[in-house]
Amino acid sequence: MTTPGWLFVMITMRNFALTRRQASLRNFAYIAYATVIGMAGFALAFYFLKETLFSRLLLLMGGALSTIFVFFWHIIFDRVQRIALRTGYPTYPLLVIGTNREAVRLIESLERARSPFAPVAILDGKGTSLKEIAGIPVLGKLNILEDVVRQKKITHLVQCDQLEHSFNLLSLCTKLGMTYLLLPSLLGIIQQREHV
Amino acid sequence: MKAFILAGGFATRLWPLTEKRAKPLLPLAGKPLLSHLVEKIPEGIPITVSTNQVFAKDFEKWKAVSDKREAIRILIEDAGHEGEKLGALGAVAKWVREEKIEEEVLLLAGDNYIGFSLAEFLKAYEGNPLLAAYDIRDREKAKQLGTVIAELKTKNQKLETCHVTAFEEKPKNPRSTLVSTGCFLLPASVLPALISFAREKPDNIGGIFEHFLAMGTPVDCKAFVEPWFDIGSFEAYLEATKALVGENVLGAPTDDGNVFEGSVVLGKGSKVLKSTLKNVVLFDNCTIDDCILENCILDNGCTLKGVDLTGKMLRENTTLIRD
Repeated sequence: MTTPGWLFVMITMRNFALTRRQASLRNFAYIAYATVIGMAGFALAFYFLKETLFSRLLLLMGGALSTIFVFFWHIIFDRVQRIALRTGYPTYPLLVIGTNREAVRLIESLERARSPFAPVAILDGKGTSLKEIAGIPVLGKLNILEDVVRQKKITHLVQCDQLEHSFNLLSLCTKLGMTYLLLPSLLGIIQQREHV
Repeated sequence: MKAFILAGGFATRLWPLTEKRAKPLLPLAGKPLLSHLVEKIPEGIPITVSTNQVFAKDFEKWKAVSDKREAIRILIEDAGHEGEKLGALGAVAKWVREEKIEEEVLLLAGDNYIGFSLAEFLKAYEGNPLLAAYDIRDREKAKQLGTVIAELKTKNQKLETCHVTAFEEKPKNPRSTLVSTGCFLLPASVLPALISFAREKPDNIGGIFEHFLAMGTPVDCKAFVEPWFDIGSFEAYLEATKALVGENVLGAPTDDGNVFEGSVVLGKGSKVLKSTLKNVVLFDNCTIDDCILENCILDNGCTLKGVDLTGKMLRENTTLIRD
């Protein structure tokens, strides 16, 4: 019964994203924060209606249990969703542009996490002798881009190499209604253990 | 002697510039790459340009418009896409077989720019298969090319004409940075071996030299120092433009508050207003207004206003306008 209420709070706080990896400390913090706001709102609404306040213990217990249950619900939903979205042909087929090390890392990471964004094909503008990466076929070069997008029903495209093509790829994504993604490392943005 | 220019590829690495044109017809420093090559071939040598069905009309148009030589023939391969093409060596073998060629063949890759003189190259011919080589001085680049391991014919000789001891196509660990330039001279005596090798490996043009060496046929090499470019990528295309154009503007620059630096090529009908361009190639009918562009290549009909771009290649008719 309370689920729609929590969902409303989380959506309005922009803390709700079902495609995000749910089992993370950051997500737990989002949920805990949403719960605090939710409990405060509930107590305030109760006070306005009944002119009395909850016991503090009840509020603390309600907040703690809500946090735990909502968090575990998200994790379970995440698992179910990842299986469902990858059963049969993926719901979000992802086209990877590039065969460099960053592309390999991305594909392996998406496959390992059973991400809803399932790589289904790879194209490499420079040409490569590789036939596949982590089981995902390298279909050729960018000259067959539009054919691959149509045949594989691509919904998302991630560019991992050859920055000179960014506008051409972005333009194609806009034209065909796909989501364009760019790997930050292509812009020299590396997230782990950087030192300046 | 007959010249045979290989122009039957689909130039997939240079997408999107080659989406609607063959790579040998890409403009380089103001004229098609193929025109640069044809101009180097000494007069009197009949030329055959081998291409595919898709680009056949473009080559015919090129021949009609830009070529002053009469002895050029366009040979059309029966290939409509990448998977159907005969392969470089396959195309040569078919031509030799069908035309009953019984003389030396000057074989040239149509997507290479050569700065050296072909007349000088022909002078080095001593009856053995001969290839033109260039020291690229970069082992990483050599990994993508055919490398030549050569030894001097006589002591105290400069590395110009030498014996080839090994030829390695795209080696993982190159033993040499001397690379093949896609320019070969084949005596009539090796053509039967070429036909038979092409049946097994129709796309392995470098492999024929490994085959000659394995057969015990001596292979010679003439090394050049003049610029050579394999126009196979965005970077190579820009590099070749910089080398050929220098610190100049090719085309018709207008004095509309523009700043041009490095090598700038303006195609026919292209307009530039209040912009800064550094190492930029504009194909035909582009309009650039209030932009700062560096190391960019823009295909025909692009319109840019108020944008700053570095290191971009834009597809035909791209429009980027920031108000």
